[in-house]
Amino acid sequence: MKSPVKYLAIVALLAALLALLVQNPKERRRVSLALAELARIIESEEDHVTADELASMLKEGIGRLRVIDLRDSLSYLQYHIPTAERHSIPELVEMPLRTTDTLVLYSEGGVHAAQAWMLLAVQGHRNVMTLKGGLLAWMERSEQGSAPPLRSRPDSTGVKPPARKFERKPEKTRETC
Amino acid sequence: MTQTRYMNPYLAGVGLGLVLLAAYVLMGRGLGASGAFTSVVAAGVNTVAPMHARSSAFYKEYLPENASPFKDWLVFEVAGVIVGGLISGLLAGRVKRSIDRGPQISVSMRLTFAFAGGAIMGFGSKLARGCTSGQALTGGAVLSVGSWTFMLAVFAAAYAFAYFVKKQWVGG
Amino acid sequence: MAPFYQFGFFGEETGLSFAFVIGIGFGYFLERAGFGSSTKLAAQFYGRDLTVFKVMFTAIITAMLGLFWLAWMGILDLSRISVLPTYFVPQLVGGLIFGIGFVMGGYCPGTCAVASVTGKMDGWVHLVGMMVGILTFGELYPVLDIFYNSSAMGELSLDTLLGIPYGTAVFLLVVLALAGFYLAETIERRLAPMKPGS
Repeated sequence: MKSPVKYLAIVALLAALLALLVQNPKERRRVSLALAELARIIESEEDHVTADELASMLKEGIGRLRVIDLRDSLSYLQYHIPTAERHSIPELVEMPLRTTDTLVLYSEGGVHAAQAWMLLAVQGHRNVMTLKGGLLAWMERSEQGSAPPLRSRPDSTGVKPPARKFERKPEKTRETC
Repeated sequence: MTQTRYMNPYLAGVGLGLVLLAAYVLMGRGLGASGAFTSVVAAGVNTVAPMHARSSAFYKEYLPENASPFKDWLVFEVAGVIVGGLISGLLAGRVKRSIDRGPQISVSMRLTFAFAGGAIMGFGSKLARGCTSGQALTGGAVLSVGSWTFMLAVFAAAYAFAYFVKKQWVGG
Repeated sequence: MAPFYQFGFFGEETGLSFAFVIGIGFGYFLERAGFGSSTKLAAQFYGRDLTVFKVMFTAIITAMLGLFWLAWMGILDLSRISVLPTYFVPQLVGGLIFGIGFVMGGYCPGTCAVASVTGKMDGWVHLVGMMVGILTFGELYPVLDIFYNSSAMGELSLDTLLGIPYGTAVFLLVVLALAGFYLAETIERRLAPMKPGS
């Protein structure tokens, strides 16, 4: 290899090593509105999972399943779906997500989950689903026995809540999100 | 005509990389080639059979409503490629009417292979949504999985198939 | 901020003239590297002359590092740069087909243009053949449509796929490329007596 080429190789290696250290330059996010594709997914409800389906997914122990609760932390601490992690929507949008994970988002009624779904879908994530009917649907199925009851102890976020008595209060008057 | 040596491949590569980078910095997009030729084909089909062209999901993309299909970024870019290639060729004394072929193959066979190879390659480039400049270089630089897949597939298939066309290039 | 066109620094017409100028650079370096010659391009696949590998991968890592560092410096807004969408199976199959055509014809679309303009008649023939191939695809499109759009994975990049940071992926690819270059040099040196002066 000629001399200038050797220098180039050294420069490239250095630049790469520094890149390894830096890991992520500023924002690296691409947004693409694959309208036709997204419209099709939404209409076919491929992005939906019912409470019963989610319950069996949890029971079967589907690998790399992450259930995400999008409500505020107070509500989460009072009760949430077993194994659910809590994240705010801004947090969710910043999180690096493995394409090999399956995410199920839920909120009180489903609107926030649907909106968060869209924010992830336009970034190209196709491994995200929402709980149809939200937490309210889960609670309904839970009363009928086909879905496990909600838990009050957070399972995967490692956050310890203050000791609290388990309470189930479906306040239907509250604004569903 | 004295021919100058080819440029050091690494330096040429850096030059190419900087050109690609310039495209990204200026326009937010990379390079390409097959798309420009598709515009030409689409324009041709449109001239001969406009109804067919405009109703085809494939050709439609290359035929804007109220503008010429040639007023396209890639078409202008490939026009530049032609000029740039010519400039370099002239400077190096490498512009000469010739038929590039291996030592043991006839002109007609070479041309047949050139045509057939071109057709197969053209087909493959459309299926893959690009070619070595559009997918491998452009997509490769942004780490697109599909682009790297394409590039590896190209190399793999070319190496595998090389045996069958050996006579054309290196003889024996 | 860059990409300048996307921030309104200039309009479409100017963009087209940039396309032309960029193309000139592109074509210039392609010919400089010797890619106006099908015999040189094909030699890659007989292990004789690994210029194709060297040029392509040098170009990729140059641009890759450039993008990373310009983004780090805050000059380039990466979110506005499209990562070509992945359609895994069609791109894999298309790549295989392309590879066969490449070693058979001896050119790719860009290089056949360069070859044609420098007088290679096989380049002209290849160019015509390529357009016939594109036309064939276009006419067969109604049948190929479903396959063409299958296994869509969106704008998937290697770092996302592997769950590693962008910088780590860049590092790995650069190291791989450099190792490849070293290997290429070794292979070529062993065949040196057979190679005409580069």
